[in-house]
Amino acid sequence: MNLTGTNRRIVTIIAVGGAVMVLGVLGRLGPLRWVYDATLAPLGRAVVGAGSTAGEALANLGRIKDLAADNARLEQENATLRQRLAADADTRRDNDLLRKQLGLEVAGAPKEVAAEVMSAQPDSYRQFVTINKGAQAGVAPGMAVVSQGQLIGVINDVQARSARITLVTDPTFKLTAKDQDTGATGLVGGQLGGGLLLDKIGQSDTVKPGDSVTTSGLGGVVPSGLYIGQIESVDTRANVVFQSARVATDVRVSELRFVFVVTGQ
Amino acid sequence: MRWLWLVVLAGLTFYAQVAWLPLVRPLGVVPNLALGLVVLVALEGRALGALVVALALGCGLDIISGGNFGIWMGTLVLAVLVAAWIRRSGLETGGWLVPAVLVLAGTVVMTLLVWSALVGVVARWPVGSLVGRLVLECLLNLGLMSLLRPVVRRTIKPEPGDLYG
Repeated sequence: MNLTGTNRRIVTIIAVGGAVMVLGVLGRLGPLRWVYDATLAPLGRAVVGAGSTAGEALANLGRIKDLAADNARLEQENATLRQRLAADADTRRDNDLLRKQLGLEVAGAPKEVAAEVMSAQPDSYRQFVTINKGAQAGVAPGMAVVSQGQLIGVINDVQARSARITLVTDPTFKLTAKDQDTGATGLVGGQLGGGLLLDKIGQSDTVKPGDSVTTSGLGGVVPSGLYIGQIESVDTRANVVFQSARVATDVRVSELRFVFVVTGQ
Repeated sequence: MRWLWLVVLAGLTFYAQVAWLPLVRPLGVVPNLALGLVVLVALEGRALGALVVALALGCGLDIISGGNFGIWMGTLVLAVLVAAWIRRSGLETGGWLVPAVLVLAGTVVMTLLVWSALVGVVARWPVGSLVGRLVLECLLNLGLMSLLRPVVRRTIKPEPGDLYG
């Protein structure tokens, strides 16, 4: 008799679970997400802080032996970038002047909304993070999100007080991008197991290791010129229709704490 | 069963799973602490309590997750039902074998569900790297489960009549 009662309760719980699952699949669990954002998320942010610190500490432990080599490489890169920055400043001034003379719009600094990472995807294969700014702060689906000067992903789901970002390293992420040095365009996307791939590059286009990959600005809300990463290696087999290139990115979920959503130009 | 402790344990597991483990990523993978917890609660405590914890944790994780809804809830509930069935069938569940097998099977099932949701979306499947990652995740989950076991045993003491219900 007792077992029958327990069985009945188990069946009831499973039925409730089934109903919740159906509602979730249909996307009708917005109110539950709102409850989480309003009550539990602030606590999650504190835990994320501790997680970031621990993650960075663990990552740094593994990198100690590479520090000297990294330092030398960064010093050289810094010197090169200073030279490029000085040259770019002149080019930008000339560009603005010419645009004004031609009556064209001068591009201003992008409008950004700062946000804090609340939680991350709880499995090893997908790459999402949730931030504490949503529709109330002007965040909308498709907007680009940057951190430390590079594109980390795009907004894919927005609630009133939170939004979910699909990171560039997620296997479903796809965005048109270009080789900033040669102008070659392609489709950049995340790889299952990590890393980025710039695919669908025409066989006649030139791409080479070391080139910077930026957003192309085509077909959406993501503005052009956002840095994505640097080409690591190029696959130029002649028997395939397109070339592809591996792109090195510095996006590490463990190091994401504050991000900026690009809400407009 | 101490319900309050169970709620606290489930809450801590939830936060660890969404806000701490994905950031720490030991050896590059996110271990599944929630699976270890529900398996242990189902084997050490009451199936009913484990089922409620599995549903609540799974629902919360599915809401936070950007993947397909239901993967977490389905896997955790399935793990509890199998654990309860094993317990009811009279198998010895006090040792390491049953919880270890359940955690390993749960890890594999959940990974296959995540992968199957990506079929047709992902063009390149680095099989070697994925299998390596799965093996690593299995080992980490076993390690976490063995760390969690004394905590669950201490907080969820069996009471008379707990054999199945």
